[in-house]
Amino acid sequence: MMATLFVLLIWGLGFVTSTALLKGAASPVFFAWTGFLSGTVIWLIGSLILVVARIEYTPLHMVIWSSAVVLLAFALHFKRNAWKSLIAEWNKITLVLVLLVAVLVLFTTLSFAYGSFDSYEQMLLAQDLARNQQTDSTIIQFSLWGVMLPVIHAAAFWFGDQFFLTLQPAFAFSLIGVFGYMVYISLNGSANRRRWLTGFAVLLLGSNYFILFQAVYIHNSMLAAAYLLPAVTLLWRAHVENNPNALYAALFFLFGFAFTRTESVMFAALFIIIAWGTNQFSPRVWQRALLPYAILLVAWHIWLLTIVPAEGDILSTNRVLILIATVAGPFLGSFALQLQLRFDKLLLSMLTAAFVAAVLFNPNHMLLSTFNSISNLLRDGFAWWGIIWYFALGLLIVLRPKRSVSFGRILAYGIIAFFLLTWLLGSQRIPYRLGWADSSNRMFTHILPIVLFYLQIRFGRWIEGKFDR
Amino acid sequence: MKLTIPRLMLIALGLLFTLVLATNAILLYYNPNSIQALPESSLIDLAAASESLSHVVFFGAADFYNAEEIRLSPEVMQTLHVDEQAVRRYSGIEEVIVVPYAGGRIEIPPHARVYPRVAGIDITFIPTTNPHLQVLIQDDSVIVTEYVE
Repeated sequence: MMATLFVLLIWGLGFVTSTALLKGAASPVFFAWTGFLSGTVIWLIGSLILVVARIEYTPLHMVIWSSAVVLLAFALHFKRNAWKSLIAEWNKITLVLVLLVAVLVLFTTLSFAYGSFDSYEQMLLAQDLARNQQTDSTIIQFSLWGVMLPVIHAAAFWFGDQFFLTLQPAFAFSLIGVFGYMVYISLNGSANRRRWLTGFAVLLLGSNYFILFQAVYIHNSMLAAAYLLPAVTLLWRAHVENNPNALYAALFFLFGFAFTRTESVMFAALFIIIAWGTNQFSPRVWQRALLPYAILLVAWHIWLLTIVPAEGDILSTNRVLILIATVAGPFLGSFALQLQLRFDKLLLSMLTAAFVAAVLFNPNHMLLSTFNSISNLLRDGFAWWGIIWYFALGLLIVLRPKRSVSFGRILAYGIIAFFLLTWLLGSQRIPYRLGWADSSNRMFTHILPIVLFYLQIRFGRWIEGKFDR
Repeated sequence: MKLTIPRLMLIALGLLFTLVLATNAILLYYNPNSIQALPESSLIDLAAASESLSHVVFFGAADFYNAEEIRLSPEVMQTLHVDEQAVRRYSGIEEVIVVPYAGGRIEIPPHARVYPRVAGIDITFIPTTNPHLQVLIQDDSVIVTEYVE
């Protein structure tokens, strides 16, 4: 019961805040689908302020934080008249909320959860956080994981639980919901056709075994996927609609994405730089969008510097410095936007060159790593991915490279860059291995929804071109 | 209705789509790694079971772990304990025989996954689905072999 109530409270916190703060970025229905994601970001910021400031992480402190944010959000609502649009769409918002409750009740009733030892370690960290027993050995865990999962599960201990059974399903719900909503509003044509195409796309993603598995597997892949999708689709729509507000909202979700895994900020930087290639927005707009993102994440990584071991297993001092450069780089780089360069092509060329260099310097390691990673998708991964990647490749071949989607480069280049960077990161660790739990394999969960979104939009345009003439 | 190339392509895509959905349905039904319904208390017990130990050895479904991930560290070579209660509860292994082992070769099973120290506890995870295992313990090692009657 508390697990469901907690998710609903977080949803409320996120919905009220995001509809006020990000007004004009998307419709209130979008913010209903992403309410839980936004609320988690707000909750996370409060939690991390407490952790960094060494203030006790208690229910009272979090209630004070959340109440202050909600009051500010209400003030913003009245100042910007944001509540009027909520009233206009109240029926759709209520429907989303009812669906969320139904999913939470279903998963709680069936008691679906899967935990591995990665989950176990993160739950121990959550436990220490909630009991305010951060020792050196536990605080160092912040350098091993994205902090979002343990921080949000920590609240479970206040209610006598060890973890919230509802969190993974709530993230999966947000992912599928945002996916369906974004596909629907991005398609052209009659409402009937858009409904059918959206239904097909949602079925494709939502019935995938590995996606469903991660809806109950206590780990960070579902979280990362749930944040990256709204971030990238908003980034794309911001360009299509020439809407800076959508750009700010995209950065908000990229900010959430940054806390899901340690290396997430690198992938976030990819999409930002690729979007620069369109030269759609002025440097000033980009700087306004990137400034809060850069300041908050640099601050967080500087704190990480104080706790990571010099030669840590996942994060070391040097690696955190690289991450700081990755976070600050897009903001500083935005001053070079006046040059009107094709940043997207530059980035792809650099990534390809770096990948080739990594293969030449360490061929055995890189070839094994990359081969295993690809094999997990196309050969050994049948038991968990099914044939979804073959379907994506088949659709891509049928549709052929053709500029049918405005600003489609943001999506297409972003997807290519995502794969390249994932394989490139293999050079900095033990090689990727065969098996579902391999890091790269789980990271492809983040990009699959974006691949399907892109292909479905292309498919919609293809149908228009072939059958509506 | 005339069968044009776009229409044929649409039919082909429709068939491929149906095939993907059918595969997804089959995987959900038959996949040995099917979504598991674990009682919520699992992790509570898991944590509780490890409180009094400095090094815990657990067993679990082999399907989810790959034998290639071997992360043996110097920490491995310290006192190991097998938590029999946890082994029985989480592995489905029916017979857990923990006996002191003297003499012979000392080894960590090559498919063991060794985790970094968490909250003062070392964790070794040994993937297995074999319900009949013999766990042999010495001061600094654990040997798992198939139990033969």
